[in-house]
Amino acid sequence: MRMNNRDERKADKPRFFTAFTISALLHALLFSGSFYMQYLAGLKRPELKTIDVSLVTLPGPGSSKEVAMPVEEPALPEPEPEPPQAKPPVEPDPVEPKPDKKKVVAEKKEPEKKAEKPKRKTPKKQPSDFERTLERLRQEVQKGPPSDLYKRSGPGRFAPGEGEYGAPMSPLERYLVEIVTIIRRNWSFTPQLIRETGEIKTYVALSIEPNGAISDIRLDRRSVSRYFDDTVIKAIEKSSPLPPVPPNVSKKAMRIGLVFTPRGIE
Amino acid sequence: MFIPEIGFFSLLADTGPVVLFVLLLLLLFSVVSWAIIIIKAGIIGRATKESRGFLDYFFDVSSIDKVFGETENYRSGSLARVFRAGYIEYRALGDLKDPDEAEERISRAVRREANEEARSLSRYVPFLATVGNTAPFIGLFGTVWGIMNSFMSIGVTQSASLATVAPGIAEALVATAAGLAAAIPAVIAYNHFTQQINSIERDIDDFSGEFIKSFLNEIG
Repeated sequence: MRMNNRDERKADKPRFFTAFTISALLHALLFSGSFYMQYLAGLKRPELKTIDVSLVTLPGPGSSKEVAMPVEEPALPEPEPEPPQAKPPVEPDPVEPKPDKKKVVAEKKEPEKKAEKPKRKTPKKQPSDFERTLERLRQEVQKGPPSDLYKRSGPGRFAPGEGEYGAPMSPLERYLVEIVTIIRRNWSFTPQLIRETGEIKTYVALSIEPNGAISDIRLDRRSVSRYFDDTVIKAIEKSSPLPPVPPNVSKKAMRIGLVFTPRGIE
Repeated sequence: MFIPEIGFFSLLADTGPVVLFVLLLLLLFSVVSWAIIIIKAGIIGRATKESRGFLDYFFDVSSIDKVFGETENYRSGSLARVFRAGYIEYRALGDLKDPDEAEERISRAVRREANEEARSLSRYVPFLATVGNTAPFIGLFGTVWGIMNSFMSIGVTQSASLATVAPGIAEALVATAAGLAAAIPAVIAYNHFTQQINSIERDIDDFSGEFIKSFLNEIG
């Protein structure tokens, strides 16, 4: 009879395999069920607007303007600050004769003026270095876009839903945001396949016919990665035809420039 | 990487070999631990239920021969099995009338069966504890590996945008989720089964003396 007890325990093994099969089937059922649920959810899900957020550059027209403003203004007076540096030695000359006339007053005034002089010199020297750097940067930036087509698009310019600090977007801006969103949706690339190092930025010019068809796609400036350029071209070709150009934007074919980077479309 | 579809399975499509291996290992852990849960839930549940029924019968009926006959109806009951082992030893005594030697032999047989029963009940259960303890760490390993890869892709593209970083991190976090999904049922089941097995073992310890006493009464 003890053998019976052992035999019953030995029966655990086939039972275990049965349980294993049941468990595997349950897992398969769970996976296929969740896959099906995800498929259904994907069918029902409305198309949401894509908002591309960059962790490095702060997108939005506000930031681009804030950078642009100080660049343009100090750039013009730059040659001027240097000539005034020659003036300070001229200014003290009329001050020096004063002590001859009124010694008591001059003694009081001299320390005040001496204190003023360094104040005048330092703010003039510091901006000049700063402005030179800004000027250099500005020139580099100006060198950037190969044509005027790209001046329209600043970083993050095409982020959907963004106006200038809540200001309503113009019909042109709204249309551009719409088409950039479509192109971005059709654009896919694998970052791991980009082996090249260096700045990856592709400048593409394209024409949009009034009916929305894209034509005359031209790479104004290629990036270092040929693969990246190919994905950009494919995305644009895939996006054609775009929605028709609204009559209040343009009644004839319009030509625009887009800058593609791994962060998105600028 | 601009993938319009966002979901668990679209994340799995882009996982690297290490994360995939981790996920498969966790899947295997999960399947095996659920198999153990299924089989042990049946065995321990039956053992507890039939032991209780057998005890009721044992105290109702005075004849050990009748009780032995009834053990056929409680084949999965741990107490019934222990009683059967003692009864078989009692029958094997034959004409031996020395109560000390008879008690020693019967109690040895009962002890052996009790040990065997405890071992049988707790077989595979430690695997649940292993899964409960290691699965989250295995998942974490997959996550760390995936995040390392996603940081490397940031270095390659020289871009730290969410579009570059987020898919890699999401893929990596799937491994932690899988680890937790495997570990949580295993830990719950382990605690439940351990408590049930301890209860059965306590019953065997408590009633083994009663069984031996009933056999000795028959001899005496």
